[in-house]
Amino acid sequence: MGKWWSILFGVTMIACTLLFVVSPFVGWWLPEGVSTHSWSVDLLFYFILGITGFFFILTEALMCIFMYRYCSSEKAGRTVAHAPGFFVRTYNKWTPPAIKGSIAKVLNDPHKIEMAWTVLPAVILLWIAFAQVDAWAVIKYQSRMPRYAEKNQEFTPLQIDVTARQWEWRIRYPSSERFVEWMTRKGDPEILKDFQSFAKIEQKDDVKLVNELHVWNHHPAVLQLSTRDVIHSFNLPHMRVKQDSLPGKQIPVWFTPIKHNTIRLSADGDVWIDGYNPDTKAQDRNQIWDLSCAELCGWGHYRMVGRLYVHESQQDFLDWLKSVEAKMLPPRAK
Amino acid sequence: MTKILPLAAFALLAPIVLVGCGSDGYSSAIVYGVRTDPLVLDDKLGKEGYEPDRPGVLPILLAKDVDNPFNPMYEKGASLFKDGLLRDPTKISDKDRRTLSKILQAYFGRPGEPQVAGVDSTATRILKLDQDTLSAGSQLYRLHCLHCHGLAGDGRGPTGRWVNPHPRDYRLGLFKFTSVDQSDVPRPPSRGDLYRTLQTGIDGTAMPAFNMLTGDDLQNLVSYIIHLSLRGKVEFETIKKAFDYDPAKGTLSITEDGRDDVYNYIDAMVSEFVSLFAKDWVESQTKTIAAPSYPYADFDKETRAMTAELKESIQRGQKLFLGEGADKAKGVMPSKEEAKKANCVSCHIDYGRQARYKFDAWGTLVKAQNLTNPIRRGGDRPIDVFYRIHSGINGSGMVAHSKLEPNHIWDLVNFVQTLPFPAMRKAAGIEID
Ligand code: HEC
Ligand code: HEC
Ligand SMILES: [Cu+2]
Repeated sequence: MGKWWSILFGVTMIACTLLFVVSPFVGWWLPEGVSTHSWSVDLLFYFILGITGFFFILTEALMCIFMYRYCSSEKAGRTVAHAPGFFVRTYNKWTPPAIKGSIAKVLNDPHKIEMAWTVLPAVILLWIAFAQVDAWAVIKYQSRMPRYAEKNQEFTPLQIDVTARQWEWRIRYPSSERFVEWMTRKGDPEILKDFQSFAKIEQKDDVKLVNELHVWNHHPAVLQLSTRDVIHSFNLPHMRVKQDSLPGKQIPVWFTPIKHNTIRLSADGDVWIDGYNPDTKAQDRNQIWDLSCAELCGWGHYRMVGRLYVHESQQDFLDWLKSVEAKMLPPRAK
Repeated sequence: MTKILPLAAFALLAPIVLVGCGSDGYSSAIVYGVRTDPLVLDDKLGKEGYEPDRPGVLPILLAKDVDNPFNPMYEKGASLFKDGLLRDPTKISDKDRRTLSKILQAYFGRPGEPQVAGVDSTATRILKLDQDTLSAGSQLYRLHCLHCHGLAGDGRGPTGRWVNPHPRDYRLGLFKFTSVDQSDVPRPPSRGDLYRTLQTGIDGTAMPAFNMLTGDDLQNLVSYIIHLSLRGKVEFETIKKAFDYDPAKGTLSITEDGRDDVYNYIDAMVSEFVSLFAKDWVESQTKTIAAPSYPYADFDKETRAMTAELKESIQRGQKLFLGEGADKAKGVMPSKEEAKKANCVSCHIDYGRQARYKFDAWGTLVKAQNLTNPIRRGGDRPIDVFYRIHSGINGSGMVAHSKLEPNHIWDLVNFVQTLPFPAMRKAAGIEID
């Protein structure tokens, strides 16, 4: 009863496809894309998913049907049967004669079949390769990286140093004072030098945190990514950013968020974080934005997660930065 | 046959899908057990100047490790046990071992059901040693910490030997990074210290940060660490006190007083130790170092330049660090006595750049920190560094400097925190080469 095999495969494939279909409704799908470039990544993803999904289902379905139909039957002792009646009938009835002729020609010429199934995917692949260049360029070409603003109309990005290690993200911010200078003084060679030195030279007043990445909304952030030990992969699923960090290299990563998930309530109040809104007492998992490691990096890989906090405004971010600095200060007499 | 194959495939797949996560039950067959690795009774185990342990090596997992020529203790190997620097608990007779194990289990339970019996209710409340907290902590510990720190908190989990420094062995009751006054005796840390260690991790070592766990989880973990530490320390001290070592025969036998009634003898001793060490922990919760307020204005409000008083403080810090003083304190020059009290350079040779490896209280190797590197394991807030200098770093050999004038400690903090940054050094006018 070799038919069991085709049924097993068929059921598995149907289960897989169903799982795919239900996953968006149970929260297993891509998280909301909230960076300026996330739409282009998503578009490519859906496009490629469409093409591969179509061919996947087509080939799997045909395979299962053919396996079922043509399985060798011990009883009858025959190994090959005629084409399934339903297909033959449909094909005969609905295909125009001209096309029927050329299909017959191709099917009877193995060379042509080979050509067809090589060239067609090649064309599709080539097309994808060209179509994705734009999306790739915005995310990865260093010539597109946001830079220190030379002119008044431009914006200097926030610069942060992110160092991966087993198993955490060590994150270093400029001091609030330095940060304000970066943001306000534009086209100043001295600030430019300082800006460029940030990633290379640590300063005493840098603000260092673990696993907490803070940026603010509608403003580009450049993260200087490096690792102290093995290869890790810096992954911000909500921002559609993923970049391996390689030992001995410092790799810039950038993105601009278009939605925030963090609001400071007052200068010394608490932050709305981790999906909890103290105003409404509402809990919302979707407001928790992970920073995860996407490269198996050792035993503790599973817990190499941090959080991304996108503040509502620059002022909000600055208030937060100052509050962290205040906690670092030595105790002083009032 | 052909029919069976696909069925077999189903049968094989089903368990994978169905098993997933079981219940929280942790087998009651799993117990802490009595330690088998040698007790380290002294941190002067050998000469200075060893290389750090090679990856995969822990110098003393078992007594026989010392017989390995690559072991840093090999040279002194034979005498280590004779001279009472190490003691091998596997020499205890099986019968006594079972007794000890039974008693310890009566007080501390087992990993699946941890408890601390024999402490008064105030201590249980202050240290949060109730069973619910401990079993929640135990579960988290087994998930996140066990592979480094080991089931019994012995620092000998499977990963432990591959990282250097090795994970903390809690069984000595010694913790490095505390805000507790250690100037007279080494004290356990406060709950807050452990909590902070978990939140920030220990930068520059393998100990990661756990700040993505909730506050409650961290509190439960802290309680469980206290439990493990208490258990380990009671075990350690009991083995040390209740058993006599016979160098000739190489045996550990119960002391004279206990021969008649081994069970009650050990039980009384354990009971005494439990309440004694729990008291130490309770006391630590209120013994925070009273750090005087920071005396200097660091930067000019207008120009943002370093103030003259900060510059002087940093320079005085350097003099103290190097142990240089004059007969009478003057300007940036401290007095001779003060400088002698500090004299950090005696261990931090060339600001730590040429410091040598030594044995620490756990029998692993430690080196006075290279302070020209900005990483501070115990945290880099000025107050953290103040605590380190004031009370030393337990177990590592870095001694307390609480006898220094408080302002001189702040000077040292300023100096130490300036050291790694060339631009700051230049601004403060100090040279280190
Ligand atoms: C990857 C290995 C690793 C893991 C996982 C790990 N630790 Fe550690 N831990 C270390 C190392 C290494 C040290 C010692 C650092 C030193 O000596 O400076 C340490 C030290 C400590 C200390 C001592 C701090 C002090 O002041 O002396 C505590 C407490 C601690 N760890 C608790 C935990 C807890 C609780 C967990 C689990 C939630 C955990 N560790 C997980 C490696 C680890
Ligand atoms: C008896 C030797 C000794 C003396 C004296 C000594 N240290 Fe240390 N110090 C050490 C050792 C050993 C360590 C490393 C501890 C560790 O990493 O576990 C250390 C570490 C440190 C650290 C790093 C702490 C951290 O969080 O990483 C600082 C800062 C420090 N010492 C400052 C000083 C200052 C300032 C003095 C003088 C007042 C001083 N030390 C005197 C042995 C010494
Ligand atoms: Cu990783």
